[in-house]
Amino acid sequence: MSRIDPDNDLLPGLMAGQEKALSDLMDRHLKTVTAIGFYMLGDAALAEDVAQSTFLKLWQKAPTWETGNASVLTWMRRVATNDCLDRLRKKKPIYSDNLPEQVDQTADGLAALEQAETARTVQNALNQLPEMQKAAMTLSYYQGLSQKDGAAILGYNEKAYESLLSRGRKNLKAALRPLIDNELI
Amino acid sequence: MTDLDKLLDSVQSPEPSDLLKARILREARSLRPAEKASETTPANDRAWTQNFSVKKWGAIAALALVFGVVGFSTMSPTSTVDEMDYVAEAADTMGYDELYAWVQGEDGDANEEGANEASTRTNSVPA
Repeated sequence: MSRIDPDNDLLPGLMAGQEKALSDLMDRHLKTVTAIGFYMLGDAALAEDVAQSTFLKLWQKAPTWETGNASVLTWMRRVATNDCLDRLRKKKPIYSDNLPEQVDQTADGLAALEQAETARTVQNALNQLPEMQKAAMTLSYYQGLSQKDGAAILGYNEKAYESLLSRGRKNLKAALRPLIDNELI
Repeated sequence: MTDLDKLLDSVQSPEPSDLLKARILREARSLRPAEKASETTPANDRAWTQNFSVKKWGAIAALALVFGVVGFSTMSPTSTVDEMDYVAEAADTMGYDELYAWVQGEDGDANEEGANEASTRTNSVPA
């Protein structure tokens, strides 16, 4: 049974090259697509590059879009994920231009500092995962996709995807064991 | 929610910058894909055109074959008989009917009576 694409209303405008349709689509999904880049690459600027590339690819492909196949968002998730995998495979070191913020030393400030440190540790653990495990964790945990949908995006069968996800969680747990044992969460 | 899930929750993707959307729209404007694409033939239609071209050349080849067969058939011995009749009629008109009959008759007689008689008759060519 095919699901109705919630973005069907924008497709005629996209196919006709109307910028309004592209703008509306970004209002709906720009954050979602950018988040894929952020969780997989660990860098906000690169994540925005991935989002830009993804939306422009859709813009170019829209005139030949065939309804009844993958939904617009599923297609964009697949394109963004593949873009991230390509960038990771180039094995260039990722430098972030995000400077650490100055944190005040009040109680609230210390709590925020601890939270930032925890997030940084988790982000580093995510970055250390093998790329496909990272993709599966991004899609299933941060994008909230079912195993079926996540598997379809990565081109895996559901069993293989489940195994990928399981290994990813296991590796993350091992990497974050000190945080879990010290109950810093 | 497991401990791992709580830890994963600590990482939150930042909001896209305000400039990102404008940047994408500017790039999209420079690409203008849809207008160009609407003027071009869709990929599947182009494939149909290519198939049609193959069909067209196939039809031309089939027609050439048919014409070839028909043309070859007109070169059969049947048409040679018609040609001989025409030549005989022309010979009659020009007054060479006897000569023509002798030439034609020589082959026929030679076949029936043998080479010796044919050579004898060669000496009695009509005037």
